[in-house]
Amino acid sequence: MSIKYTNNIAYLQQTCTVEEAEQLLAWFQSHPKGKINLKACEHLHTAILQVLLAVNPVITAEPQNKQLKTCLKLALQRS
Amino acid sequence: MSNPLLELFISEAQELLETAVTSLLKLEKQSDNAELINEAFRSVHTLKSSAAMFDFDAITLIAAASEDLLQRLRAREMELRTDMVDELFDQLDCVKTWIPYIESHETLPDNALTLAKESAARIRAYLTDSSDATPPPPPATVSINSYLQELIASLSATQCQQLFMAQAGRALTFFHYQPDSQCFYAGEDPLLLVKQLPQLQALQIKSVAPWSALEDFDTYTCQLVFFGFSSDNFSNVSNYFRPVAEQVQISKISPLWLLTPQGEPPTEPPEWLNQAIELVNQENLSELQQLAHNKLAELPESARAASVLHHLLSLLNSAWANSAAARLLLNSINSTQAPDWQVFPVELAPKTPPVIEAAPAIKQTVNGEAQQQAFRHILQEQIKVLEMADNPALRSGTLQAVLTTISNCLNYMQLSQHLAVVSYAQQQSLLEPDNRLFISALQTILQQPFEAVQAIPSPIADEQPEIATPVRNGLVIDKPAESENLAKVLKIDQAKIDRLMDLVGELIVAKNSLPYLAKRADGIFEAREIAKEIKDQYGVINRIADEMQDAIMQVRMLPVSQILKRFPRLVRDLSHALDKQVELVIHGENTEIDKNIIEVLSEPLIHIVRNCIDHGIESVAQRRKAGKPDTGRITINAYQEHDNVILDISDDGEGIDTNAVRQKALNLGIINQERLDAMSDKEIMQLVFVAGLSTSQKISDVSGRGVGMDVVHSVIQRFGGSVSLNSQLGQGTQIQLSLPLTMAVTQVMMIELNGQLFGIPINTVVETIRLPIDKIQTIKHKEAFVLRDRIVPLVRLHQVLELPEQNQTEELAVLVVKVFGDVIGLVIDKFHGGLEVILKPMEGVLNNFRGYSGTALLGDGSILIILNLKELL
Repeated sequence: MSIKYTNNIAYLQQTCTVEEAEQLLAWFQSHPKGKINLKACEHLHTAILQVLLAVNPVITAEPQNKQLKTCLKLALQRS
Repeated sequence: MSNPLLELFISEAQELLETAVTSLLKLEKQSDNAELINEAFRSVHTLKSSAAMFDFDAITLIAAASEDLLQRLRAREMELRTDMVDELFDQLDCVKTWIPYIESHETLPDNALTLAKESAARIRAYLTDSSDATPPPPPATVSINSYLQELIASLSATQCQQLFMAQAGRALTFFHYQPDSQCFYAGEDPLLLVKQLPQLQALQIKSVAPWSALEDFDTYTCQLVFFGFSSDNFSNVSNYFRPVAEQVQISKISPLWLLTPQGEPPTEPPEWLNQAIELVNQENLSELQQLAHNKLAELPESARAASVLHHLLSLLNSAWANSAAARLLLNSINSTQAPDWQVFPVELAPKTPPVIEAAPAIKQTVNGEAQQQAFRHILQEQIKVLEMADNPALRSGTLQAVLTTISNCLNYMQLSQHLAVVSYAQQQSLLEPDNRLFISALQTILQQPFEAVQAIPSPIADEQPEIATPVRNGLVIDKPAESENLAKVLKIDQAKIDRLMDLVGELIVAKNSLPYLAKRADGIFEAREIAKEIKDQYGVINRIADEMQDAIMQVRMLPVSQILKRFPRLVRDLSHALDKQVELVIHGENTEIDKNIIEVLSEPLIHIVRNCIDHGIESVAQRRKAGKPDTGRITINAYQEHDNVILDISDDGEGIDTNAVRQKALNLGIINQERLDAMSDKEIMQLVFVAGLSTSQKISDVSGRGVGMDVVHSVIQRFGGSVSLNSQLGQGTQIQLSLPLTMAVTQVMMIELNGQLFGIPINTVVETIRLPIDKIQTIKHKEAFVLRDRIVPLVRLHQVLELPEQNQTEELAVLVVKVFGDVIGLVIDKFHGGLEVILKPMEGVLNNFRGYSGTALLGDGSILIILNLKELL
């Protein structure tokens, strides 16, 4: 699976698919202060993004992938 | 057709449509069969994706709408109803009619898109009046202003200004994309789609509803909406979002929106405001610029006034400076609302010649890291090739190849300045014993750094409509297992099979001359040894040729299901139209039959089945009265018997009323009373096959004109088959079609008439005799003779074929044949031997002349005409 869960940080790596969204959600429920590391993430499915938007966790590292970074930045920029 | 991909699409589309229709048909009877729904869904989904590749928007629209409906069914949010199925059938039929048009015109008919929109709307109507669980469909018009304000607010002032300059007066394209809540199930990934939108400049992703508690969160339902804008033009963005067109709203917006100020309005309007507006009214824009500059220095960055002034300066510095816009900006200092940019046209017209020229030095350079790496890699490889010790004979070729490769790369990477050097180096190397010069030239290029230049679109360029390739990654194309069967099944052009058939036919005829040769060798040349060897070899060739013919015949055999598969639909539609309940049962659909015959069969079968439903099966009320089950049944049974394929079509309807037939025949004057009385019921029934005879009270669209059965009869007969009919009044009717298994080799008897050779199928020949003229008797103006205590009518074939008759000789050559159970003597000129030939039916105009069954090619290349005695006599 492309999400690696450690103590309190979920590392999203390569491509995270729709099926992993549920697991991620469950993880957040059991780790309410869980954080997200997107450094190695190339793409995440909309479902994963949805979970992130709903939970709004702290993001410890931005994605290195330029396209994803721009997109998420634009999306997560709040006025 | 020039495009092989398009050909593939056409055949694929036809199959997909068929699968969808078949699945839907079955689904009607088993409405909760998940596998059938999936099949239908997959077919429609694949059709949608394939159609999108060719910009067949009309098809995509319909397929998308159908897909959505099927998706709901799949998710069990809706129940299948007959009217839904009817609607889907209509749509799919419509698409089916477009396929031949696409084949000939390579595009859709003009009205297709309009029709598609209406159709899609109708299907979607089913979607909206069910299922409360899903969020409401996106509102018809999206209030753009508020979205835009949010979007602009998410960008920094610098970003806005840079973008404004870059846009150079061209409209931005705003999009609002609300994916369907079930889109994940369809394999869609909206984020992927949006992420890859070319020239995406601003993006916001929101939830359509407040986030529920985590425990109640359904990760598989999409509740996001994406909105943003791109610098790309409206047409490209529209194309890009085509796969999800119904879920996206796209509009052009003026680039002035980028100049929307941010920040809280001051408690009091600044004292210089009136002065500024005064300058605007005077159109003194240069002084205004000065004023703005000065005041900006005094203001804190966060003030709204500062934002206004920043943007004002951007505006005034650009080629689109105009007082109206300036005024709007200044007036917005005091409010939180954005200036009403909508009053401006979406494309800005420059007042003065644009200040920003496309500086010639800034080209659209390929700056991607990937390309650079690839280029280096290729260069290195070419150097390696040059370094390899080469076969001198191949050297010039190698050098040329390397030069071509490098030149192409250089051109692509916009480094054409190196072309001359490289070319010179190559030429010099040719003269040298080794490639050192060339290699060092390439290495020099390798070592040069690349300039990473940001591509800036030239403002003067016209909007070239480049078709942005739609992203397919987000949509998983679910190809069912048929791709695994690809290796096992081949699609072959029928013409190729026909060619094989012809060749085999010729082979068979040619091999037949070998025994004759053997005989000659033996007899005339007394070469006994050779004769024997020829005979042996003939044996071998004969066996192989026969096997080959068998094999080819097998290739041409197709299962009857090919024509039978359209019948369930036909029966359904027809029974609905006539308000009857009919079910169709098919047995033996795998029975194989020659492909030529299959094509022939389809029309007769359709006639027969139509007759069954129209005249045979009674209405529900009548059936109840007769104590029969409400639903009438038509059974089609196909099986092989000896050398024939038999098709039984029976129904449990009202049967044939022989009295009615008698009466009708009498009325139409087909047969006189005497004969009618002499005919048995069974014989009367055969009258059904006579053209013009129909006891139907009304002529319907479907049948009743008395044409169908006649066609059935003649078509079947023409191919050497037979039709028989049986019926029991009140109980039902059975029709049996019998056809030869293959268009195999026919044995014919060759005869000569007036110097011309003809063939007569051996199975009709009884014997050959020589008849002395005096044995001819005349009975009632017709000639006849006695053969073993039987009177046999004599027919002069010359007359039948209208050929000049030969002189009377003392003895006539008479071929005794049996046709329709009657024995007849045919007067011919000469007998020739029996012969095996491959009968080919006539084509084209000659097809209408029923007297000839067809032609055959003789061993010496001449053509033999085979007579169809049943028609001639």
